[in-house]
This record gives sequence, C-alpha cells and structure tokens, in this order.
Amino acid sequence: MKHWLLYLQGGLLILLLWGTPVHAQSNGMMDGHVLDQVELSREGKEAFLVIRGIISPALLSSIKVVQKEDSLHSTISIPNGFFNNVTLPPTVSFRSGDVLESIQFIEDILENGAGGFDFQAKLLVTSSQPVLLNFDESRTNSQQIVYRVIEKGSAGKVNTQREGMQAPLLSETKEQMSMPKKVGMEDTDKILLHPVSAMLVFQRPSVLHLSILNASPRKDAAQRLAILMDRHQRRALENRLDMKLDITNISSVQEQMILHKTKIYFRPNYLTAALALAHLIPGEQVVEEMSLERRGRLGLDVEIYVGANFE
Amino acid sequence: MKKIWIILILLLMSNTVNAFPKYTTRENALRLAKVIDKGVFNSHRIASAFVKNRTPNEFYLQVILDDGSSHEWLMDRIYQWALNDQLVLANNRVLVFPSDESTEFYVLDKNAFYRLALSSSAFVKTYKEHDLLAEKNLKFAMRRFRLIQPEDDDLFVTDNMGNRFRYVLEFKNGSREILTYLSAYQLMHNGAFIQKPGPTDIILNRAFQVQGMKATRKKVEDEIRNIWSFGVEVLLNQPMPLSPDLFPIQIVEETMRHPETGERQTRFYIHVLFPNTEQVQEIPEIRTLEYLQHVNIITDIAHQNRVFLRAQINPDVFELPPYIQVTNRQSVKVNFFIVTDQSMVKRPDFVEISQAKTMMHPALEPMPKDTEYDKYYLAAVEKIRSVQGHHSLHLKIETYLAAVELLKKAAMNTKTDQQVAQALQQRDVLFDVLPKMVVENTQQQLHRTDRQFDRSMLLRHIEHAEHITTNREFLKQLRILRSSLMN
Repeated sequence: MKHWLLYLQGGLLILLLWGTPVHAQSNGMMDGHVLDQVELSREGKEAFLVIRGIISPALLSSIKVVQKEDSLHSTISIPNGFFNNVTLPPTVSFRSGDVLESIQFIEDILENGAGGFDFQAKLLVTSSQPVLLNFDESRTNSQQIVYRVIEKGSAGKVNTQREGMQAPLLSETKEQMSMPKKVGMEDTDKILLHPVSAMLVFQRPSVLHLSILNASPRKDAAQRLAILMDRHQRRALENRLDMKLDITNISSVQEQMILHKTKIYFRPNYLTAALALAHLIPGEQVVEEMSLERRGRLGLDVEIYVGANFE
Repeated sequence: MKKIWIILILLLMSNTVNAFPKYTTRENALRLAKVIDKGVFNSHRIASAFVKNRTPNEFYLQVILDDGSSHEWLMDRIYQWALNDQLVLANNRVLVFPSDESTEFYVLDKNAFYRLALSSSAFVKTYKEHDLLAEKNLKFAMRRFRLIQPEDDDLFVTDNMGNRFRYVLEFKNGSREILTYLSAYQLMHNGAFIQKPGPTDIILNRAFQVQGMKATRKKVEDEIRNIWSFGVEVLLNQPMPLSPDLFPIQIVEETMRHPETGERQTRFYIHVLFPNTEQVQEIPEIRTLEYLQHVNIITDIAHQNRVFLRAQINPDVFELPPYIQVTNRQSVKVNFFIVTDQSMVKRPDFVEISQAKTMMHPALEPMPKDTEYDKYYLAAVEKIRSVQGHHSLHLKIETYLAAVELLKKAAMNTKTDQQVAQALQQRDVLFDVLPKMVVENTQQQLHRTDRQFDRSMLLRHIEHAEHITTNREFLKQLRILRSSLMN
C-alpha cells in the first residue's frame, strides 16, 4: 500500500514538473491564469465583479459560468486557473448591502482522460438577490476578467458563456504589465504583512536608535546598562547588527512600574537586533514586538525596559 | 541603632516619593466641595463644605459636620478617607482618584454602574501596557456580576495604589475580572460593557481547547532566494474566530545551570500566545522540527486562559518571526521561515564594519507607498510573490520579466543610494534565475509532441536571457536553442 502511494506521489510530481495541461497545450504557450484579487466595483448603477491577476486571454473562452435556478449561487469555473494564496483568502465577504454576499475560492485538480491532470479554479459566488453574471469583454484584458453583475429583473442582455475571444497583441500585454497595478490599501498591506514580502521591501537603516528605560527598583539600572553597552559592548553589538548604535534616551518609566525581567521591545523589522541585544545583556530578557502606540514614536527602533533582574 | 536609622530614612523616603498633594486648584476645590456636600464622613453627615486657601494657588476645604464641628480638610486626607470608605458621597456615589500624585478626581455612581453591569451580556477586556496583548482587546460573554464581601479572603485586598477590590465579573469562559471603584469608573466610561453585541462583535463564550498539534510540511516560500517555510498546526476543539494579530509572539531568554557541569547555559524560547485557550490534556512534544527543538504546548501560569506554543530556537538563525494563519478547519497554523540567502539584506554603503555576521531581516511592517519608487518597487514585489510555487515556467518568466521592467522604473525614480541599491539588487536576483528558467522552458516546449508553441515568444525569452547572462554555458545552450527554434 505504501509503495503504491509512493508511486502515485512520484507520478504526480513528475506530471507537475513536466506536464502542462493538455487543454493549455492546445492553446499554445499562454497556459494559465494566476488570480490575485477579487473586487466588486460600481460604476453608477452598474456593478462589476473584477477578478484581477495575470490572465491568459487565449484561454478566456474556456471559462464557464454556471448559475443555479435560484440565481443566488453561481460558479465561475476557470480552467488552468490558480489562486494566489498570498493575496486571496479562502473566502471573500462583501459589505452588507452589496449585491454579492461572498465568494469562495476552490482549486480542483481533475483527471483529463489523457493520462494528465487539469487544474481548475472555481469561484463560488453567493449573492444577496438573484443576479446574472454577464462576461464583459470590453473590460477584460491580460490583467483582469470582468463580469457585469445584473440584478435579475433589470434590463440587460445575458450571455453567460463567451466565445471567440482573441488573445491581445503581445505589445499591449507588455505595456499593461509594465505599469504598476493599482491595488487597494488593504490588499497591499496584506501582501506586505507576509514576512517574506516584508523582507523584500525592507530598506535597512544604518543606525539603530535605542532607548533604555528603568523599570527596576534600582534607580541607576538604566544608566548602568547604557554604560555597559556604550563602553564595553558597543563594538561587539555594532559588528553583530551591522548598524551603528545610537542610545537616544535613558530615563525612568513614569509610573512606578517594576518589571521582574528586562523587556526588549522591537519595532517590526528589528527582531534580529532585539535578539542580539538580549544575547549580550547579562541576565534573562524577554523580547516582544512594540505595541502600535509605541511605534508611533519616531526615531525609536528598540526600547529596553531594564527589569529587577538586571544586576 | 543602625536599623533605626535605616527605618527612619526609608520612612522619610516613602513620604517624599509618593506624597499625595495637600492642596489643589481653586476650580478643583470648588467642584469637590459641591460633590461632598451632604455626604457622610465617619457616620457624620456633612452639613456644608466650602473652599479656603492657604496661598493664592493652594486651596483646600472647610467642612461643617452635622454635630456642629468644623474641620479643615486637606486633599491628602480626603484621598485617604475615600480609599478607606470613611468618606462616602450622597446617593451611593464614591470619590475615585486616578493617580496618587494628582488631586484630579472622578465620581463613581455605583447604582448606575450596577445597572450597567447587570444588563450587559459581554465585557471588552483591553490589555494593559507590558502585557503581550497590550492595546488589543477580547470580548468575553458575561456569566455573573457580584460584589466582593469581607469573607472573600483572597479578594478582599487592595491594589498597589491602595484601592480596594470591590466587584467580580465572571465570564462564561471561566475567567474573571476583579474591579476597584476606580477601574469600575474607568471601564464604565470606556465602553467596556456591551449590552447588545453587534453583528461583527466576536463574543467569546468558551475557552478554546488544544486537541493536538502537528508539523506541517516544509515548502518553498521564495524559490529565487531559497526561502523555505515549515510550520506547526495547533488543533483546537472549535473554530477559531479570532484574527492572527491576536496571536502575538515573545522570545524568552532562560539561563540555567548544566545539571552535571554546573556551567551556566542560556537558551532562547519562542512563545506564540494563544488567547482564550486552555490545555486540558497532555499534548505530545515534537522533539525536533527543522531548527526548532522541544516544540510543545504550555499553560501561561501568569494569566487566565492562555497557552503558549513554545519551542527552543537558536537566535542566530531566527531571522524572521513566524507568520500566523487561522485556518477554517479549527486550527491555527504557525509558519516559521528558513532563510538561507542573505544577499538581499546586505548593505553596500556601510563600510565601517568589515564583517557582517548576523543580517537584519524585517518583519511585518509595510514600506511606505508614497513615492513613485515605492509604487514601482511594491508592484514588482507583488508580481514576484504571486508566482512563487507556481508550476508554469512560462508564467514565471513572463512575470519576472515584467518585474524586471518595474524594478528598472523603480531604480529610475529613486531618491537615495539605498533605494537604487535595493532595486538593482532585487533585479540582479531575477537576472540570476531567469536564464536557467528560459533554457528549461524552451527545452520543454521543444520537446512537445504537438509542436504548438509560440516561437516568437520563446525567441524573445532567449533574447532577454542572452542579454542578462554572462555565463558561457548558458550562452551556449541559448544559442543552440535559438537555432532549434529557427529551423
């Protein structure tokens, strides 16, 4: 049984590495769509469902929309479609009052009968009222697929399955791809909140701004730590951090708050610096991320609250 | 004799450090006189209260009690009497002082507070400074509100300011909140009590129970930089409605002596906090998982209903903080990263340090999006990220080429050396991987039995690859492929 599973896994791996789907092959090189975002936009009284990503226009004709009888549930099946899991959650919910309620994203792997597999992205659209999804050819391009959302009963010709879409010219595709894509603030933040994305966009400063605060019953604890770091450990710290150390503030906390253990708060992007400080400061430290309120203070990267355990 | 001196010095210090002011401002004194009028002091009714002053800026109260006696009341005494219940205001109200260093005061209407607490169905718990959940809040379903009686030995105590604990709020998840008059006043006026929850309010009824944990498979996160992720999925007994930002992390340094040698050893542990969660059964430890050791679930003994996912780490290889994902299958995934390529974060301009040992890595803070540079760079990053793990070489090549164009535009819109270095470094990373991908993709296409491929596009890819690579082997392969396509 185990052997059989291994063979199956191996076979799948080979297919994934070598086999582009048959359907895609018959359409030439443009063999898939990567779907990044889904939006519901309005232009006057008209609503549009916009699926953004990297779209292969040559494959648009194989996209199908199937609607249930109640017209409250529709399925958009996109062969050779892949969801970008970084930007798309499993489900997107729209605001109450919007014509659409939610969209669920499902990826299917289907056997194509020719010994290979087809990948299919499915969008299960739920609406708050009966609607028809009408493909909007004029707005669809290599960066988005657009459906006009028509509330049932209102005027509008319905065409749930489009035909004969021609691939756009290469020059047009290139031009569109070279422009920065307009993305919503929330979506952008979502992408950038992923640590790997954050790493790509982080511009590392040359100076580490450090604040040392006394949260110990010993009145001079913060000062003693500052002296220790400045006179004895500066070189080692700077070497380790690859940044200059700038102690911007040495003071006591306003409240008579005593911390049992020294706490090191780091601004996002400064985890490694905080860990290096924890390593070099004698005793046991706790390293935590700065709260949003503290992050508002400019010119402060790492904050050390010297606790009662610092001797 | 020495001891007496020490005690005297300590007494003197304690008087000078935390002395409550004796006098107040005119406005504050007038307001206080009005408030305490008709109140009760040590079983005597306050017949009247009026304001007097010692200097033009130092005011206090003159009070006449119902037995006809007249008294000068300084602010520090009023503060102490309010703390000790010796001074009670009319209509079941009490004076509360938010600080022991200021004469500012509030009036808690206890009857109004009872009405609010008894009619509320949920309580918004906001965590204070130095708590791992500081500034965040959770909404707990209320079970019971009650007053603390003198026989509640463990609760009939005071906080560090001398405020006696008066009330207990018990929640359905088994936790409780103990309130003083001051905290009751503050919570009442901070909207901490919810009478009718809104449709978006997440009210926590029961604590989540950890059912188990499992390691998730290692997968490539960024193939061009060789960043991998792996993780631990913590399985719970009910769906998790909380957002990932409510699962903060901390890294704890622990020093212990070696049992045999006695030598001091320092170890670092990462704690991922699971709020409103309890461990009711022993969860088997994962002994080693990539660079994590002794991965287990422990109860946070300092706080109610909190557990930690804990693992020992090596701080030198811990470059990126974990990324939390709440799944739709009653679990929370904690993703850790393995970063092997550190070229992205090396700065060429910092020349004073000859040897960079540990590289900085960022975490969880988006870059600003104000300038043209930011917009183009951000768009490039989005494009690169969108095809990670995708199987189609063609899509990757097209996307990376588009990203290269964006990075070029970003580099042309820079304002600092650092920005241009960053954009060009990122471009160079793509330049490193693109030629190999072009070769592989073209070979794959040429091996297709149907021979249906876009020749001109492949030639364009080859042209790009020839332009960016200096590797002789690649150049040779590209030449061969070009001639195959031309025939």
